Amino acid sequence: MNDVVKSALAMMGVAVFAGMLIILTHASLSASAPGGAASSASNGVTLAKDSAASHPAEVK
Amino acid sequence: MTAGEFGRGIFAQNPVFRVALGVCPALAVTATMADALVMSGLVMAVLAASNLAVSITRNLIAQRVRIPCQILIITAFASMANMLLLNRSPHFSAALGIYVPLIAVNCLILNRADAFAAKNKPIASLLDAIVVGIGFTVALLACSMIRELFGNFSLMGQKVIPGHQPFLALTTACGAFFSLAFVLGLYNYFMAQKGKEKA
Repeated sequence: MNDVVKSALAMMGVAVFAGMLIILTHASLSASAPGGAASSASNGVTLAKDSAASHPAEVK
Repeated sequence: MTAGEFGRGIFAQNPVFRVALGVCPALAVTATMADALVMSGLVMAVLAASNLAVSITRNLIAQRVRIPCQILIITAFASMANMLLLNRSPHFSAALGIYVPLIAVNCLILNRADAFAAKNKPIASLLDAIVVGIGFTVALLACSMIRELFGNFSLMGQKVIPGHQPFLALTTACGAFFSLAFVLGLYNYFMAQKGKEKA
């Protein structure tokens, strides 16, 4: 294989590795954050329960 | 790696004192010991990860593109460190500021990747990263201890000498140069004394 092609492939491979590393870190941090995608549904439920508990008359 | 080589990497071949690598963070983020400790931890983590990755891929990457590839690898790990710090400790992220993303172009990390990791096996590269990282930590802690102790009369945020006016100039940029010069002077004095004893 041509040396230039080898070099280009190596750089592409490293760039993909670096990009994947950054994307995966960002995704895992977003998922674990309090306002992140994974926990937003449960937060919504908690907020609704709190609201019902603090305003019982309105709920009735 | 023997104990002698380990000690030599930390003191006699200290990256900051002996070859003046990584002086930029040594001057910029040593106003307090806590900042210096977090910065050195981040640099050590990025150094270890990038040394390991560069060493593992050393036979796959062509010689002519090795430096751009090493910079890409280091940048990826530095970005990871930046994101993790921003997420886990926004206080330190704000305190360290631009110097965390700038780990990507830290000449200490680039030097170890090209001079050592690109020519040695992964375990040896990892050990080299740990030794150089400890040396960097020692240098940063020495500078920050002087700056925090005399600039704020405190250590790790705890007041040591209450009721007196501290030398606030030491917490400024010029104070960083003075403290680094003082630590370098002490280091050179002790190394010269050690050389005389051996002779």
